[in-house]
Amino acid sequence: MKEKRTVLQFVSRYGAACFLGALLLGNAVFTKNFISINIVWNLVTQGFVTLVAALGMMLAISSGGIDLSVGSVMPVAAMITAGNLEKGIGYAVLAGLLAALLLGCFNGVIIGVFKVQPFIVTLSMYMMARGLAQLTNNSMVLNFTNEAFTRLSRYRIGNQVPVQLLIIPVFIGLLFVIVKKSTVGRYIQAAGDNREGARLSGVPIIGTTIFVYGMCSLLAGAAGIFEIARVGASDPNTLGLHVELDAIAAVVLGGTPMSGGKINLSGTVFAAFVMQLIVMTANMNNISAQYAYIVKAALILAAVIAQRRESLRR
Amino acid sequence: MTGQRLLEIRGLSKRFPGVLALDQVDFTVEKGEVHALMGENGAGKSTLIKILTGIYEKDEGTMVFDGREVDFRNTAQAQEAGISTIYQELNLIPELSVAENLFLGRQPVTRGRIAWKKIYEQAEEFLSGLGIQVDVKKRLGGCSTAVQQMVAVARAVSLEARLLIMDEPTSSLGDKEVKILFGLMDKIRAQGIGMIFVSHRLDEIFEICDRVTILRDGRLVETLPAADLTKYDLITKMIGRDAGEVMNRKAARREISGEALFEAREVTRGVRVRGIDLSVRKGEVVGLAGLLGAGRTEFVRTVFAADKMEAGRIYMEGKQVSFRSPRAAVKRGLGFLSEDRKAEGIIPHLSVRENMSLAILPQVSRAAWIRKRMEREKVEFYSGKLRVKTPDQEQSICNLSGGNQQKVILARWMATKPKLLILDEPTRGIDVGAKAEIEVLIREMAEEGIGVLLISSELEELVRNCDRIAVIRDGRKIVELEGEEISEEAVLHSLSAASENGKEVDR
Repeated sequence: MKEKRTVLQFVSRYGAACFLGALLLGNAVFTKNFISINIVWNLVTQGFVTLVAALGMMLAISSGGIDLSVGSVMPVAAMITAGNLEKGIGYAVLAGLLAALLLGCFNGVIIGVFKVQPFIVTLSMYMMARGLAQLTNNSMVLNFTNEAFTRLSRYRIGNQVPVQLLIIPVFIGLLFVIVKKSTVGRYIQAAGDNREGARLSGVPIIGTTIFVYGMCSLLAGAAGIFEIARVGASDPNTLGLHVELDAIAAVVLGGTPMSGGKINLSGTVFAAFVMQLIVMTANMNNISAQYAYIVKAALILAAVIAQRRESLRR
Repeated sequence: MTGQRLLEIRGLSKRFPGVLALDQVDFTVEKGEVHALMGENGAGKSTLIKILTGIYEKDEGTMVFDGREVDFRNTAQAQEAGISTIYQELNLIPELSVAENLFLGRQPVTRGRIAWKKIYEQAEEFLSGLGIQVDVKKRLGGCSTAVQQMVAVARAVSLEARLLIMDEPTSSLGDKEVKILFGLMDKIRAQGIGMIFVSHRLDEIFEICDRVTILRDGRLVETLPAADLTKYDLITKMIGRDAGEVMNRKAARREISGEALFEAREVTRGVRVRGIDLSVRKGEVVGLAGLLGAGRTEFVRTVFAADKMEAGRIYMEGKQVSFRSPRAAVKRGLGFLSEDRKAEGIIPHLSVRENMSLAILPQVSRAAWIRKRMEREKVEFYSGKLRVKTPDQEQSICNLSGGNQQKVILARWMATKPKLLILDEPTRGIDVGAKAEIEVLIREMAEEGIGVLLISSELEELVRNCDRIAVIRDGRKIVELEGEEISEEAVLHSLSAASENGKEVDR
């Protein structure tokens, strides 16, 4: 029993990292041509969007809520950025990010001030933001050629190392500061673990909520902008589709409890790459993508069951 | 019916990482016996109960229940064998009627339809057989806690439980309700059902229990008949040192004068708080006495802006204030320790450090950046001052015993250096040792000039600690007792006098 308890704790804390290791190892043995540095670069560039979205989702889930709208906020930021590129890259990116931030703060205000369930509010935003994104260009793909902008995602250091490898630590560092070093990170986790207890201890619930959803959207917007820089076009219809699901999956698999509370930052990071690696494994072994879905689903269920078991033991 | 062995535990041990929670404990329950399980928090009571009900697995030892060796893997197995647990938080469904709750999962059915008439008749008959008078069609959630408690007991009996574990069943009951519950327990005892009774109210042990088993630090101290034990002996055995240290420590009552630090006028909210005036001076401990549901908790919650004030005014240091949220109240120097530690106090999965520093985060941070060293020092200081027992600051608070959790929450508020600290049942559900320590802390805080507003359902505790006591009834203040007027008799007298002349007082 004692061992079982600690094993469960271990699984929910480091499970994602172990799984990533096992998956890499398994691939190295069984997948042809897997051992090449390019695989790592692919993993980093393709897993980037899921990771950034998952970092934001992690805050929402930790606070006791959820944000279903990230996949639709992505194209809003992307379309606004793409549409303003000729006015200057800095201007365009800021405009895109600002739009994402506003949508997120809107979510936060409705949830925090009007006390509507996050699920409902962000589901509405999921539909609304997609609509907004499509309105910007009549549901048509916006193409652009702007080398300076696409370098954001395409640049390879020494023609080898993708620029994402430098950007990812910036995002992780930002979240690390929020989660571990800042008052708001503490407030988020306290409110998610015991809302009433936190409120009675003077935690500013409304402000914290607005921060959470604002930040979550902002990160989604950033993910959207980096994504179109990689693709070289912005498609309001498909960009970001289902990203929220991969993000939620990464957070849960990473060991942050679905019911809110203590954040597992490193778990989220590893799990985001696990989600991507599953897809890549399927691709490289000519397994159809449907199986990748099923494997992902099984993983999520296993992660949630491990969480449940651990909390029941308490 | 007594004399037949119902449960026999021999050499039970259970180890958790870092602690031996139970060490070779023997424990027996006879048929038709109420057996008290006593000990401070962390003594091993809950571990024993959890092993017995299949929540934990034992490491060593044997359990024989009803002549058969058992080792339950889960709670369902324990229940099936005839062991039922009545918790403080009941596992009943408040939205269903009393009768439905009683028959939940096994409603009598005629021709595929639920036989409502039969349910009500049988429920009525069964409950009155146990001496419980209640409208069985009533929604359970609308019944008093006592009735809900009894329905839970009755349900266990009707499920043919042979061993009932009652974990703090009385902690949220008033005196009268406790009497009724004890009446029910007597009836069940006569049916040969064994009961394990856990309570922090020592008087109850002598009133209802046949034998007492005392645990300390995971080890069995002694099992003996309750009649052979005095309260003094019991406390001594529980804490392992002379009880004189913790009893009879009535502080010299002080005369507090000076301007009011805090003043509430005509504070009103709903039917529970109907225009209460109250003031607290610097360094004064003011008690709120009253029966359950008198409006004491509701009053202090309103003052703290946990609930919205409908009418009335509040003054701090002579200036009128109006708090929009608890946060605003905290900023102005108020602190509030809620009566429900689990639901409104601890942040269960955060660490001791994070729990303790929650209310002082603004003070230990600069521009939203937490200054870790400062935070640690504060937590270190208050952990030492309150003698919090924890392996380290990073331990999740939910792994601590109740008394230690309460100390952490108290430290959370002390660290804010409050001007007025509201303590709602600060010693509920914690053991005598920790209780004594908390009472001492209350006095110390008052001496440092903090105004304390204390709610307790234990009159002794109020009488021992308060400089002034306000008696609350039906959302109104009936009377204030001060200085030499304060005594248990005086409080009881004013409460009963008020109910006799209820109309006049209520006006």
